Amino acid sequence: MIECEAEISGHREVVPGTFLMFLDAPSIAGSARPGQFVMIRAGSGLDPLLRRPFSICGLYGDGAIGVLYKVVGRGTAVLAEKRSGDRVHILGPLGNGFSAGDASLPLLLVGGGMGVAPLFFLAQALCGLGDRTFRLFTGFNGKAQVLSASDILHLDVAAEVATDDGTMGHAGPVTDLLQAALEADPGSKAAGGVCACGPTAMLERVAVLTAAAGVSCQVSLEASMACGLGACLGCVVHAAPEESVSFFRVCTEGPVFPAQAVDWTRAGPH
Amino acid sequence: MNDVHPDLSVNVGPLELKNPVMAASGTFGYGREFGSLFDPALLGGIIVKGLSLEPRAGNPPPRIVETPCGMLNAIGLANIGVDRFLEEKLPWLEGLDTVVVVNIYGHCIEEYGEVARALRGVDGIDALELNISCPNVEQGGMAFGTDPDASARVTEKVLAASDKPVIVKLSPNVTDIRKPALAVEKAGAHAVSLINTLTGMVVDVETRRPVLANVKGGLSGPAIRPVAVRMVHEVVEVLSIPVIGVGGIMSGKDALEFLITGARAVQVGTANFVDPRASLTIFHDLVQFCRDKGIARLEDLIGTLVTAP
Repeated sequence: MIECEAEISGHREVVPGTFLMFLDAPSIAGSARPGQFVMIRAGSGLDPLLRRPFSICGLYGDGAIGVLYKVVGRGTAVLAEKRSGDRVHILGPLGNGFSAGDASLPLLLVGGGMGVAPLFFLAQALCGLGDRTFRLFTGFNGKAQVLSASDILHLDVAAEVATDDGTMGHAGPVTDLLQAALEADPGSKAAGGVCACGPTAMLERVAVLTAAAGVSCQVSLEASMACGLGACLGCVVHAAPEESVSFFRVCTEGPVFPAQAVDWTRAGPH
Repeated sequence: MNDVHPDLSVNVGPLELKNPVMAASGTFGYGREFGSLFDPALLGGIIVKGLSLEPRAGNPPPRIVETPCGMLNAIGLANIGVDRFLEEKLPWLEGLDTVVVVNIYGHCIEEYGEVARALRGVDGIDALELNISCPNVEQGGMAFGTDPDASARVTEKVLAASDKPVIVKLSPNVTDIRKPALAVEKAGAHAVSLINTLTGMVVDVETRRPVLANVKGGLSGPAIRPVAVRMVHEVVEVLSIPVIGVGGIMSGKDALEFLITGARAVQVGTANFVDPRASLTIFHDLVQFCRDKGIARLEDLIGTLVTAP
């Protein structure tokens, strides 16, 4: 884990309100695994104060990491003002990552909204392995919000897209696509596991579908977080009743968890 | 002056610190979390996360929310309990060449005594800090800290059970902080640290709910620093035992405010979240300040506040 001041080597608005930032950080890029995140200090003053956690969405060129974010508050608004050549403090790579599972079977990647970010990195890594097959399902509100893996990763990855308003791809939640894929494969002989990231309601649905199909499932969670190092204990999520602890820290025990380790009845907005 | 090595060592009662910069309880884990970023032994001391006799799960999430120049937390004293601390965390801390302080908490006065007894005679622990000021638990915590008599009783209980110096961490959520400060001094405390967090609350106007599941939380960060400096000023004027200044220290300059006011050491808290090397940077800032001002001993700066017109 490294703390450094990284130069922004590229920054663009990929769809309205959503930005892709490249940070030149070879020491972080060199050890980052899909599912891991970085803490970025958006400003240099006291407001906003805390760093913000962002999934790494891919590796770029010679030692840069990509961060995909939507402007939702003060921190991301300050970040969006940054230009190429500006420098920001980053800490990472943090947390665990997705585990590869059974390499002989294809992985199903399911991302909703900004939750596509860590799955794009996973898709990039799987492409790099060459022989590892996968399917990528992505869901968005509408066509205007669709984040394209091939655009963001410069990779020939064909995602199967769902939109809530039906303006692109399947009309309905992305979990419909996962459900269809699981139902088309009774006994789940062709699925090496599911990796998912997105809104809590989506993840809960993914957890239900994969449990019913008997397919292993990893979910990447997000939480308000102060340190990212496991010290503040601010980012916890309720553990499932079978677990030996009441809470997991998203930053250190996660952000990637086995879906069955999470208490979904208490995972949503309270 | 740049080749001069100023002496930053200070004593806090019986504790000899190599420099006055300590990492505050609850913001530095058990030290090791930061060990890959810098050597925590470079600090004057480490105060580990508040420890209770039995493990505590803590409050449900959301536990934290950012506020202007600060943050509100309601962790609820989540911790691994005394047994696991001694087994899993202390061996690493024991190897550090710096002062290790264990912050302790009890839900009743007896539990404070039991925790102190469990840590009695244990090597590698240089002092105890009594958390009688946590705003985020239903029982104990701030209930003791806001009542001078109860503050004194907790202090006496721990002193009777312990062989270690006792620092009492005071709550700012009182009308006159001198009262609990004087009460714990009279009870025999070796030092006081102040301030813990100020109670606060944030409301989500969309859902009309408090943002924190615990409704209220403790405010920390640079937003509270002037309150902390004022309270340190009030306490050093009436106390004979040493004072450790805590509250929103982000830079060496911030630490100097407390030292000049009369604190003999400082604790860095929320800054550790913003920059995991903040405590070390603050120490370096102090060294540079002494060099720039030609101060050979930082000790000479403590309590030099000028209030005459």
